[in-house]
Parts: sequence; C-alpha cells; structure tokens
Amino acid sequence: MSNEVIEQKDTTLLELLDRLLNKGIVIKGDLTISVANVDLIYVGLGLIVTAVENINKYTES
Amino acid sequence: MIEYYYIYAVINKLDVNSFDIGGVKEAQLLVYKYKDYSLIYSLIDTRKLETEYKYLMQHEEVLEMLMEKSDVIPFSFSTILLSEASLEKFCNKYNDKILSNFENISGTVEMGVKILISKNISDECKENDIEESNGYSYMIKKFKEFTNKKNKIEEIKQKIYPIENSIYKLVIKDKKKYNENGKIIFNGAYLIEKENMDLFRECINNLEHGEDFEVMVSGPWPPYSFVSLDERREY
Repeated sequence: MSNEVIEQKDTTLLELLDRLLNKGIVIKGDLTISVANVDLIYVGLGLIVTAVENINKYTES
Repeated sequence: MIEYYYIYAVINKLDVNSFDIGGVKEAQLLVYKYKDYSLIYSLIDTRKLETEYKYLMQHEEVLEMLMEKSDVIPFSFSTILLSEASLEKFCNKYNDKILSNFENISGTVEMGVKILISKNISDECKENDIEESNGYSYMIKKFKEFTNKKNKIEEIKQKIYPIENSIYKLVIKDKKKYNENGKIIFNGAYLIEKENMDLFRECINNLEHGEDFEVMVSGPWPPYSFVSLDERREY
C-alpha cells in the first residue's frame, strides 16, 4: 500500500455512516413516555441493522 | 396526509428564515425558533427513513450549509418527531444541555483521521508456525497471538504518535479508538478551531508516513463526536 495521504473533503460513505448513524444528538424515548400513550417521537434506531448491511456492502465494493 | 418532523440540527442564530437548498427528500427546510437558538427541520411523509446514500448526503449537505452560517449541534440521521408540540417539548426539556453544547463547540469544527493498513492485524497475529497438536501447543499458539496483537497495538501507537504530536497544539478535544482487528487501525475525531482547518491538514500532509499504511483526513464536519444530551457521555 502506498504512503499517500488521502485528503478528502468529499464525504465518503464510510465517514458519513460513522458520523450520521453513530454520533450527533440522539433523542431518547423519554419524551414519548410523558405524553399518555401518544408517541410524540420516533428515533431511527431500527436503522442500525440496515446500516451495518450497507457498511458491509460498500466496504466490500 | 400526516406529516412528520425531521430534525437536522440546532443552530445558535435566530435571524435565519430561509435556505437555498432543500433537505431530505428535497423537502423545504423550516425553522423553529426557541429563545436564543433555532431548530432546523423539514416535514416528511414517513416515520422511518431508509438509510440510503442519497438521504445521508442530503442530511449532510444541510449541515454543511448550516456550518457556514452558525455553530451547529448536529442530530443523528433520521431523528423524526411526530408533532410540532414535540419540538417545543424537546427545547423545553433540553434547553440547558443545548446551551452547554454550544459553549463546548462554539467556533469549532470536527476533523477526522483514520489510519488504514494493508493487511488485517488479526490475520497477521494468527500467523505462526505452531500446530494445534496438543494442549500445550495450543496454549503457546494463543500466547503468541496475544503477544503479536499487543506488539501490533504498540506499532499502531508508534505510527500515530508523530501525527498527534504535530497537531496537538491545534486540538481542543479528541476522541480516539484503536482497532487491532481490522484494516482501519485508528479512528480519531479532533475538535479544532475553524480557522485552524488548513493548518491541521498541513501538519499531517507534511509528515513522512510509513510504507505500509495510509492516513485519511476528513472534514470539516459538524462536531458530531463532541455533542450529547446525555450527561453520562463524555463530551
């Protein structure tokens, strides 16, 4: 492998996934609970499985 | 049709009312103002957004645009509130933490540094010439794998040292992760002053690197790794 320094402003998918899915502000479900039986908030935690599949797909390619 | 509230970020500006670009699914970006800051959101027709590259990019483009105008507290992808009342509820509940996050990240950006090697360390660590013929040999083999791995982590730290040494004066905070089991052996996030972005890149570019690894510098990013509403998480 070369000793090249890759300088990327271009957002690679790996970097995007790393930050957009794993970091940043995450609101937890505690806002939901305080309003009787009406869920006011949805946070896309269910996306994690999809995200992992996507990471595998893109890193393989 | 029911509409949901897709949240991108909080910015510490109140005089922003319209934007030149759209958000996820090309939806118009809207502003919810609260005290000294604004929540940037758009209305979408779904409660669950698929993790598609297009949507990730649209989310990120909104944040990049916001970064040019203000300090930005970025939200995780696909944070969707179900009513306008929940916007106010969110701001009421987390007002102090939002302000505290702004204090922490004011005037800064996040830069990423990844170090990649050509061969998985875990594979290399398993390479030794002892057969698993009996318990003793097996234990020796495992011990050798352990020491190989330990040596490799030391090697990683040796590789990273000159990089960190060159940028430490610029770094306000950092988050670092060493990985002995893959090609990405180091993943670092560094919070720096906006004005130091070019200097940060320059410091790394000026270094001589080894033959067996690559250094990936990315950014500027909104400070994803340095914001949180959770007191237990370290800023």
